Amino acid sequence: MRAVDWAVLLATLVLIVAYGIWRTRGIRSVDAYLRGGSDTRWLTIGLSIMATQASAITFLSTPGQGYEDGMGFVQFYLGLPIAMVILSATIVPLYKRLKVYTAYEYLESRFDLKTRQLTAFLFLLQRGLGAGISIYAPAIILSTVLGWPLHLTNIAIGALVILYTVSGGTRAVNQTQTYQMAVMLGGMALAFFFVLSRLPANVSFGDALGIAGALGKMKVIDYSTRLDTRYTFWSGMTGGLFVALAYFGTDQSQVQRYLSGASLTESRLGLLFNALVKVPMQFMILLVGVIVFVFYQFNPPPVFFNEAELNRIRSTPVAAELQEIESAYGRAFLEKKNVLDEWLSTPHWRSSSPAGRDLKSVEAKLRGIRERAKDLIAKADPRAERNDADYVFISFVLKHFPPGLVGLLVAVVLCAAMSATAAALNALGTTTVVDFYQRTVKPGASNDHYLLAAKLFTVFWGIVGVLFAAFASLLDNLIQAVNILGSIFYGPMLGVFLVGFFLKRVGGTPVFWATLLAQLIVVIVFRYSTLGFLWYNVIGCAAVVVLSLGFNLTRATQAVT
Amino acid sequence: MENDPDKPPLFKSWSGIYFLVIATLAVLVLIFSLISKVYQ
Repeated sequence: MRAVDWAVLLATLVLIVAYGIWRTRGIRSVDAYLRGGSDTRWLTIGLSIMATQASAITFLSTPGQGYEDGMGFVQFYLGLPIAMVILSATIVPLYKRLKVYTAYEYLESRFDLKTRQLTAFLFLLQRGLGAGISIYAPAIILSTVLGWPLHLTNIAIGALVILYTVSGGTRAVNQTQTYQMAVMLGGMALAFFFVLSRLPANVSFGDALGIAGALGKMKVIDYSTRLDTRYTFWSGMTGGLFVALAYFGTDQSQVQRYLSGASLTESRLGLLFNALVKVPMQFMILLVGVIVFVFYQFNPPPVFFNEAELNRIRSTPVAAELQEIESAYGRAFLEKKNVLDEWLSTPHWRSSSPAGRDLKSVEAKLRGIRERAKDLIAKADPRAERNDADYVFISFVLKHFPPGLVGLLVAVVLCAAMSATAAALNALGTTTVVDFYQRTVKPGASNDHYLLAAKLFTVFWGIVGVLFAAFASLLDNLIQAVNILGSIFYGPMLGVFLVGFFLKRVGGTPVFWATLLAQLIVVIVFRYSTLGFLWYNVIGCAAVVVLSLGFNLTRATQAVT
Repeated sequence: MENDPDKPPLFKSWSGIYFLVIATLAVLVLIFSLISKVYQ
């Protein structure tokens, strides 16, 4: 990065954090600290909800997914608007009426203390790990491509987030997220237009979509019913709906955002704003990746996008083999470019035309060579990461973006990392204080005591996140790692809430045991099946509902006999 | 807002705004399906 990039990056990060701290200085009450004083307006809530969900992984991995697999990932979000409507009509009025600080407080009033604390514990477990990944994911990628020291990057992200989250609590998180989201949306919009401008002059936007379509990247909607296909219309509308219901309805890092609303109307509007904006936003981010893919149809791409890894193996005994693979890749690229020119010159291009078929065939050849390169990297260093999808976009930014815009795009990634981590730490600290410390360890203490405890627990979770980030290793594609982790826990958590709302006869003990058993079932399915991870949400939720009914019936039968 | 604490702006009731959200989703799915069909 050049000096101007550093200036843009540091100015963006420091100004947002400093302004957030200054705007929320002098908070003295637990209510203001944990619930933001309940005076937040809908636009702030909406942007804050989006910023909480949009971690750095969103901006690093999603364009990479677009590049590798095309637009299909957008289907994951199709259930989200429906979930927002359901939550806005049901759970938001309930939480606001009960004036709760955490989602799990409701479970004690409906069931009992052990069910509340079990669900809160599942949240702490998955969000604690998730906070670590949301620090680690950008740190590993930025440290690799920019040569930053990994542990220092982890610590710097963690420390900055801890600073303003501890200082201003929920209000500081909401305030900073508003500005961070503005930077993220503005940065990605600029990136989109810049990537488009780098296409050859004779290639229009329509041509670009045509090329992407001919090479299988424009299948946005897949109506197939295969259960092992990760993203289809049906998995999005069912699994995606369940995960959105669970995430926005039971995950404190999101619940805390809309609980800070000045009124029920503001909270509902914040959620519905997200319902309207989220799907188009994800579509655009994926499209950036697809346009980068089209760019690399006219400009030679690296055979492997994690070039630091590639350079490492140049000094190993397989260097000659790598050179041979790179030469073959270069030749195949030129062959594809010729086929592409021919295909573009046909008046009514179609993927089923002879040139279209040639294009697909030479693309398959390039993919095969890329796989050989990945195998070689794995052979040279078995610990090396074969998946380079997370490096596609950042590698493109660093090579092709002008000075200043590079700094802004790195700021987008770090803003996203900080906003997601801040919401997580804020929620982890709140849940620990409200659902465990205040409820069980030290009830009846003063406002100042709980305020201090909330700050200390936030620091504690920040340190846990940084420590976890320091020991984490790269899992598959990062965005999928986070979604898989969420899907393992969200199903049972949602099940508890659904039983609470709709099965009025089921008591605390049946739902408690049903939740434990359902969690075990989901872990077994994750470990031993090839089922798409979105289905874990459905299985976990259904298992809690069915087992609760079963245990309840057994208890009722025993009581009668 | 203070007089009627839970009324959405521009709509008479929440049902209207919920319909808008679902209709927008339906339009998006339609557009995505058309894109898939045209560019496959």
